[in-house]
Amino acid sequence: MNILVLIKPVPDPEQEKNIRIDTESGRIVREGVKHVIDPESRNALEAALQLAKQPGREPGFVAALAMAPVQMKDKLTEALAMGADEAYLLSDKAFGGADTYATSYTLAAAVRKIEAEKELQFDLILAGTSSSDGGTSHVAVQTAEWLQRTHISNVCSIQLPDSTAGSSLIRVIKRSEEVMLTFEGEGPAVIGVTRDINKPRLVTAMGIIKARKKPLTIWTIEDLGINPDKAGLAGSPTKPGRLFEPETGRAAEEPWQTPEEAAAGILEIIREAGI
Amino acid sequence: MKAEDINKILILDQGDPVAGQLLAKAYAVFGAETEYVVLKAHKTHNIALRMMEQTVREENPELVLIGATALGEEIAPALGVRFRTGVAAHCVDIKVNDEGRLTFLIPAFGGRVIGEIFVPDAKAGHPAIATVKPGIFQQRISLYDGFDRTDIGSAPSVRIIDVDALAADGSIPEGSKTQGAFRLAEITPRQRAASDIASAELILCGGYGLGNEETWHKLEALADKLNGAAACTRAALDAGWGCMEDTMIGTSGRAVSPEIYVGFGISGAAHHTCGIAGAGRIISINTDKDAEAFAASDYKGVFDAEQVIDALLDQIK
Repeated sequence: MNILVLIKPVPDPEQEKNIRIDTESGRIVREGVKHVIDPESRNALEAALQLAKQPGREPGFVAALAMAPVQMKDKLTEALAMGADEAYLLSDKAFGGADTYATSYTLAAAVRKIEAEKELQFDLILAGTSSSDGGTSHVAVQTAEWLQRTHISNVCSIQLPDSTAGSSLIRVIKRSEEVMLTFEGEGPAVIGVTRDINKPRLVTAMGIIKARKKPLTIWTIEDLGINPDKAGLAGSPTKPGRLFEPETGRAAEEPWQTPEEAAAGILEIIREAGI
Repeated sequence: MKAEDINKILILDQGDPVAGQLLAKAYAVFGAETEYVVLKAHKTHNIALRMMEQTVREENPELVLIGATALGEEIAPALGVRFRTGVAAHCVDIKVNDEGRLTFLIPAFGGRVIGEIFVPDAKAGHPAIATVKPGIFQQRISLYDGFDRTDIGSAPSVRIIDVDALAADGSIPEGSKTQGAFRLAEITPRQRAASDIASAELILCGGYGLGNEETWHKLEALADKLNGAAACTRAALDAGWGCMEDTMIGTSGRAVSPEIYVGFGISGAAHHTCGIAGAGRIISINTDKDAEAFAASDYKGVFDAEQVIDALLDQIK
């Protein structure tokens, strides 16, 4: 089983409090906010490693792919240290400002190039369903669409075929609002996982040492052979306008002195509303 | 795209209130001049996607609105690629700006930041697509029991396409359960919370500051006695006190707009507060006097959540 994992570097969700908008430029100020691998990307990588490196099965190939500025290279080194075999970073000024449409177009081009060079087709491409920063839930689905492959998002379980039972079908469970949907089938497919699919492993010292010897390839737009009109802001059908902080301001009156007064006050508000 | 260029809007109805919310919102923004088409979705996303694709081709809308459910989140971005157009995810508002342009407002960083998004080249054949979380828009129109004219002035021109009826016609090809190379093998109901937070007029929401499982259960009992619904934050859900996931409020959960919302032990990160922006009155109880939740509250109390819950249980005896 060969698996590609889409890795997204994001501003550390723990430090989101420090993200501000510069009112002059209207840009997001991220200074001092460190970047990490998006939590659900980490779940996707863990799932890939568990599926491809199962004891008793022939070990599969796990590649990690990210589109990010070159200084995010260490996030892919971290993916290698967790256990990925190879990593690919798509880094070019021309990729800047990409929306999910242009991002997935670029990622799909890289998937095709990796598959051509390695002379294989990935059985599965795994990604987080929803990143902590943008959170659109688009990229896994749209990458699949460009590759014309099946996609299933919001997946909380992936089980490999039970060869002892003579089955060749992968089972995945997708969570929707009201039901759990179990799908059975064969790859190639693109699957967006959720954070409850597993608990990602920690990076070990041995992992870090091994990562140094693993290949990490950086590709530019020329390497991918993409028309610049299709990448980055130029290739994005959505265009951003102003950014602002939401107005959540309410009066925040503090009318009560004790928990008992608060309880009485809350009950009065509820009764007045006729509930 | 200029809002005046929008002649037809296609809305996907997934059998929940969100289609009515989207129709009411669209009508409020675009009015009676625009034609509205509602497609009743099939529950399986590959079929719903094929039907949506076909309907977009036949109807040529300039704008497509889809509820951001597990189904909608798979359909909307796929349509974006198939029709070579932009998708605005999880809009908190749809409006026409001062220049007359169609403008989507979307949250980023869990709602800490709101950004404007345009799809400038959208047109029939390449419609602008937007998803909206259920509950973000409060006003709704009942789609199949006639229209509440007091809400919307006059009835919009709405046409409903029923996929199930098409399916009975044989318009959906056989093998409808396949999803690419994947087949739907099993559907199991999810464990649901006792009360539905989407329709509750009173919500008592517990955060990590409840401290322990026992206090969460007290909050549930209190909500029950007050005819309200108990809800939780991501942190409380992750704490494993037995909170149900379908009662989680916030960007990764649900948006609600009850008449009264009382938050207990909630820090109030934007992830959570953007899910309660539509609430009538917001009351927050938290020991941390600097809790972010207070800025988004009408009333606040710097108390221990459990003490206030105990006092409430005591006073309603």
